[in-house]
Amino acid sequence: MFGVITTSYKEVLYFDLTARQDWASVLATPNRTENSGFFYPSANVSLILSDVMKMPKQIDYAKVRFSASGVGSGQSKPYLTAYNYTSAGSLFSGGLSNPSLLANPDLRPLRTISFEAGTDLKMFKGRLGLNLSVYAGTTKDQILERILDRSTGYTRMVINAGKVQNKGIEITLSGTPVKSKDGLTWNTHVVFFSNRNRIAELADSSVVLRLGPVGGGQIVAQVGGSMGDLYGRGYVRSPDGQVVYDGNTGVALITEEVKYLGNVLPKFKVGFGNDFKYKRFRLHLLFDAQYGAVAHSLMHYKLAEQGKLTKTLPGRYNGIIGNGVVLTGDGKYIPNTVIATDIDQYYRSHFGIDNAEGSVFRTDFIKFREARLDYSLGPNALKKLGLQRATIGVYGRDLFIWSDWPMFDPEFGTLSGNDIVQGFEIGQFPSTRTMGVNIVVGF
Amino acid sequence: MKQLIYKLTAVILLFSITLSSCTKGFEEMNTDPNNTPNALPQQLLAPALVSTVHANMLRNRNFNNELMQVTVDMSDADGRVFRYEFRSNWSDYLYNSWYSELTNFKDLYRIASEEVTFNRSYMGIALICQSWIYSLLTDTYGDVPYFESNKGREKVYEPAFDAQKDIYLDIFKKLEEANELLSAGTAIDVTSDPVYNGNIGRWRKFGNSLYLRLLLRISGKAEVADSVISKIQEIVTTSSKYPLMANNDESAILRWTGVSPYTSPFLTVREQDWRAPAIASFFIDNLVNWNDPRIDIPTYGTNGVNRWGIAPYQGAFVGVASGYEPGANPQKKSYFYSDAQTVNSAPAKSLRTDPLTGMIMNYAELQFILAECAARGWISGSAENYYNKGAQASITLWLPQWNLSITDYLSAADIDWDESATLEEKIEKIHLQKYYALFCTDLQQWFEHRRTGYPVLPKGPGLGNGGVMPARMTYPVYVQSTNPTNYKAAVAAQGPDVISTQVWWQKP
Repeated sequence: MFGVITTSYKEVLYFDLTARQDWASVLATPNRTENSGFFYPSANVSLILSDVMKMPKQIDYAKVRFSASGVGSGQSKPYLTAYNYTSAGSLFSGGLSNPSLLANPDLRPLRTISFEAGTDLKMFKGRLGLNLSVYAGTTKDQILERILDRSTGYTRMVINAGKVQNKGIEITLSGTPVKSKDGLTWNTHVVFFSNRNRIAELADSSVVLRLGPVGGGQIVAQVGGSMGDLYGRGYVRSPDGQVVYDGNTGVALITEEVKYLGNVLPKFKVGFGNDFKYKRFRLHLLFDAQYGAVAHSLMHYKLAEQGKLTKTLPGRYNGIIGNGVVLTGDGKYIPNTVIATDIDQYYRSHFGIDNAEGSVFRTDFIKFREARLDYSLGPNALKKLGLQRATIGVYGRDLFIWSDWPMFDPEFGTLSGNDIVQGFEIGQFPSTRTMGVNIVVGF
Repeated sequence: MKQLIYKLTAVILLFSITLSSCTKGFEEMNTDPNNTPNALPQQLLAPALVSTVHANMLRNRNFNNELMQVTVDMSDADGRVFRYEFRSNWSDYLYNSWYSELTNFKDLYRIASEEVTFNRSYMGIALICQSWIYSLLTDTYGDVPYFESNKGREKVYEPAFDAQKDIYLDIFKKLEEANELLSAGTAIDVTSDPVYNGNIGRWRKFGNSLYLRLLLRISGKAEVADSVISKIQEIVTTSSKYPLMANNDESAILRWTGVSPYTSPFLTVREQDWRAPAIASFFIDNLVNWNDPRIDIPTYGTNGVNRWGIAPYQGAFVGVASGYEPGANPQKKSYFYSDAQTVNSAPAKSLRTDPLTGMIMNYAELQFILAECAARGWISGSAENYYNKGAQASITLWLPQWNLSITDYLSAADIDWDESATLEEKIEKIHLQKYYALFCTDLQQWFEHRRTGYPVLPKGPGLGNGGVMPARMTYPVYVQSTNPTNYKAAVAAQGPDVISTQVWWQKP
């Protein structure tokens, strides 16, 4: 069911109200339908400021808008609400096993309430535009799979994950810095997104959302933390943060317990696009960047462990002294002077299967995402050839990456069921650089 | 004011559909057409048994055998099991496999106790298998979730860990109940039972034999010794109430027929990985010194391969001394054949496809348990007799045709019983033979070595953990975050979560 009311006053003030009731079949169980329905309203107000009051002459158009909205959602994956046995494999005729994913017969719909304020500005006769929005919202009962201690009898369970607060900002700046009489035009736009989230409530003190392949790497949700918090075993560190080495063997010491290693969700992303037009030439350049997240690299762990990375060369023949400290018998930290001669063990202590931290890196990058140069034939040439239009161009995608990420491409997604999971690179193929020539002919 | 023009547009769209039709059919739609909400006992038993034995076999091969110097997986890499340096990444597989199968065995008990599907035998078998798996769990990790475990469906998502003593005492109750339930001899579906083909009497004997294994394991603890020893006496003396395994045929073995689904789980180990570990000198040197028929090629071999499928090196069986230092690079000599190899122009006989590797508990082990109880004076009966029967059954399980006199064999090998020896010497002698009887039996060699210190294993210079046999596996790392409060409580009660922390029954 859906209802909407739209009103406007003098075509400067707009007010919309919507109300909606949905029923998601996936939230019902074979025995009941109660939790399957959810209601969500929204309200929007926008005011065209430039029509109401006098603006400086540089400003052509100004609008402010506010909205409050609720959104509900079920889930797309069916059969999560009823306990079912799974086949023990076709070889056992009729053999059954208990499932590893624990169904949740009490599953509720996800609810988000968000407030947003924004402005649209057009200035200098349309040469500069700014679109800015800030938002804050609360998501309740997000439907997630939680990793369980197997002693519960199950691997994972479907949960409604408490309450998560989100806030963020989105800025789009578009402009035309150059528009000359001789035909040169330069359009540019910058898009900036930033989002932070904080977990306000959870059913249990800590909810493990994902397990990584090595070193106890895992994504754990805790009240006060964020949804992408990465934990794992790592270096034992002195109070001032230096790596502590074993006083006898010179290898780095690894914590028994997992510790916080960073967040896998970027703090912000930026896109920067440019279009140049000169006579019959068009040039398009697009850059992307992200900042502020980390991820674990399985490829780095595996290659380092097998001694296939050049960073594992130093000390291979004469031993190496790790950069850090050792703990003396009387509890003091002194600079490490122990030569590690078992070089295999030394590098394993840094990058081996027990140390998740050693293969966690920042995923900050700047990518030269796209370039394209086109030339369109003029009317005379087209007429001669008997064509409507003809364009020839060269293009390239993913041309360069500037990043400290050690393994090819910091942008990867791990597909798990229906979700794209961030934080664990598990040896995916990196995105490929594509280059080509493009001819478009229209008759 | 009146010049102000109000322009109001209102659009109301309302699809008025009755509420009931919105959710109509949801129940049916949410009934998964491919899976079923109900299971019968006979559908659950065989897959759960196969999965449990599968996990046990893989870790018997690459964990137990490495610690206990059956094999040496030669490498200078860090964290080798044979150097007592295994890490927490070893912990997850058994913990996860065993608790998963406990869900099935507990469910089997629940279903078999319901009115429509009521069957005492399935209930009893379920309790025996639970006892077996819980004992493996607690012997491997120490304190583990027990009373609150496998209750995810009842909304227990962070189960408390229980003290090993409490776990053992409750396992004994389960085994008592199983013995009672199985005494009725209610028939079960023969095809659902790959271990005993529906022979309920044999399940009952296995349950009681397992009871003795576990009683003996905690018999060294002063706080329970009296009650444990009197229980052992009761079981051994009242065979009408507590029947025990009487011969090799009654051993609990999931025999791999080679016909799906009963193909050996070792087939999941790649051929080249199967051949990779060297045989350890401790394991092979004893067999050579005793002229053990199980490595005898000419008399008891098949197509030039001995019963245990061990490859000779230049005409002799030669092992690698375990625990060597990194860099020592000893040469691999004898190893276990894989079935793709050719000997005497026939495929080599290999343990990789052998029916007997699905060992749960064999008759020879029971005889050695009784031998130890007799030697300690807890039961009447001759320790020598039990010892001889154990040694004989240990050989004839693998070579039923072996028909020499066991006493002649033992004295020729200089391992015959000596009644005048000290108790400690007797225990050592029993456990050296028991070590070979426990070959292929999950982690039992390791558990027994931790309990008794026997057999005495040579210590190489490259051993970690201070040269002391590791006392447990650590808990899986992910448990620290999935069950944080109870994990911390368990560590506080038991000691640091490291491989050197002794479990309750091992503590002095």
